[in-house]
Amino acid sequence: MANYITECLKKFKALPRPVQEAVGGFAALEIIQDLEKKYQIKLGFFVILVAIGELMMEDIEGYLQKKYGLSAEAAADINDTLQENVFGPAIEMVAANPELIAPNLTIAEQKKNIFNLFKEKLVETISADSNIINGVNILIFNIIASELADENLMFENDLAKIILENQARLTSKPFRLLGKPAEPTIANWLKDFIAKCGSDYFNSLILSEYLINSENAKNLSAEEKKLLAKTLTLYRNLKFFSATAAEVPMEGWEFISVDEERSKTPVINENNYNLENMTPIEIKALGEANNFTAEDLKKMSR
Amino acid sequence: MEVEGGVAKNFAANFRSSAMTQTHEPIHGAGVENEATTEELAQYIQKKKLYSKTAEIGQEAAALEKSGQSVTTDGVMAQIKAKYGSDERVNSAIQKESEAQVEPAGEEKQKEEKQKVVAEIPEMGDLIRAMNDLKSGRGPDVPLNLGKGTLNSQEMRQFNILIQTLNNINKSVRDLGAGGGALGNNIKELSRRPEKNSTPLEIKVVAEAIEKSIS
Repeated sequence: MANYITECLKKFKALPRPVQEAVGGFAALEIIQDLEKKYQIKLGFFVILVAIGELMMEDIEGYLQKKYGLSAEAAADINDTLQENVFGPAIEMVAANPELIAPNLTIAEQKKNIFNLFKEKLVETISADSNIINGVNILIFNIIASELADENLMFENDLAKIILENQARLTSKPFRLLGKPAEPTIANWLKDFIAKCGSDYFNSLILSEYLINSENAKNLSAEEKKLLAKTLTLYRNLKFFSATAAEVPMEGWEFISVDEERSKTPVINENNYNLENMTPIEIKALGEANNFTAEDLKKMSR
Repeated sequence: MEVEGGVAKNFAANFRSSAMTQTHEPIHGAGVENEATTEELAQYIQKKKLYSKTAEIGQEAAALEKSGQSVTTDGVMAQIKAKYGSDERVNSAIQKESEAQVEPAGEEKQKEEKQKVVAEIPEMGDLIRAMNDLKSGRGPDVPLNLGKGTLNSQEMRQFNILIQTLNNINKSVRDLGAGGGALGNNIKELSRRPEKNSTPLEIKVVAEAIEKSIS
């Protein structure tokens, strides 16, 4: 008799690797083991069953009640915890990488998915982990590459326009646009940046000056500054793709910045800072640590 | 009643997310008019990640609304579960898992096999210790000499020990050959599963299944 457990493990192994990691990696396991301790049951195989679709999402609470004799409240607690911390992140990963479950999507379908993501989940996508961001970056590159021969198709410009009109709230602190109170939406932050720094291509030094000195940005928390910097950089990378791509070797191309890659950029030599290789946040930290003014930072720039 | 089949289809349905940003409007679109009901169902779908059933949930709620009955989330979900084979899937999964743990041998035969496997595979004791360490969050007593590039967290070390133990069990149970009986075959098949790129969850599931089979 074929062993049901090994059959299910084989099916799990056949899932896309990022999904296996999201559902079965250490971060997920910690949540699973906490629930196991709390309810004195084993949940590992059950998580595999849901991951491979042997159980559907609507079956979860019924399964837990029937198999372990749990109360409806306990089953709901386990389900909600897993949805928030294990299955939810996996679903978001698939949302960002639709080719994981639908590898044969047409370019038009892929474009539609990315447009929807930028319209509805832009803040979440920019804040997502490196796997998701890398997946989105690859998809955008693939679509642009497929349209290179057609001058009328400008996917990156269409995405830049979506960002420019995005009404999602980006930050939480009070915000003023052209002297009047306004909602700190993505669209309004871009308007503020363009009003102060112009609508031409901007480098990281201009960006860091804006983050350090502008009335709206200077009071943000470090996390919100990072989010704002990533949003403005994404807009620049799309709007001025040709200029950005020309400055960076192909292996370094990205639309949405990946944090862990950025953290590798070192400060070179004592008192000789390579600002072009530093993130705005790093430049700001450097400036604050050394009491540098924006003018000092400009002079140090190589 | 529809019972969905096919792992690829079900996996894709469980993880489908094209509708994740739109739950409210599709419920209205299915015919539900009451705003509060629509919002309650939309939030329930978001919380329980039932995106693949958004249209069906909307249709069931609309049918209840039109018939003049009160529309509750529990009521709608009861209809959905009945209509789309939830009980069948739950019962089938529980039954198959149970059958996988109990080989079709007599009780005495099973007892003999267990005794033989435990007696002749000394690594079974290691497995039980490693599983106890994992459950209690304790690290191994003796630090491992891990190779370069291996993450050095306690959890990684616990899983390295588990993988090593499962490999040793697999070797020993193969040496036992036919002497291990059906239980030996089962353990052989299970202990072969952990691979270099297995996730911790897979390793844990294998170790637990073996531990259960000899308990």
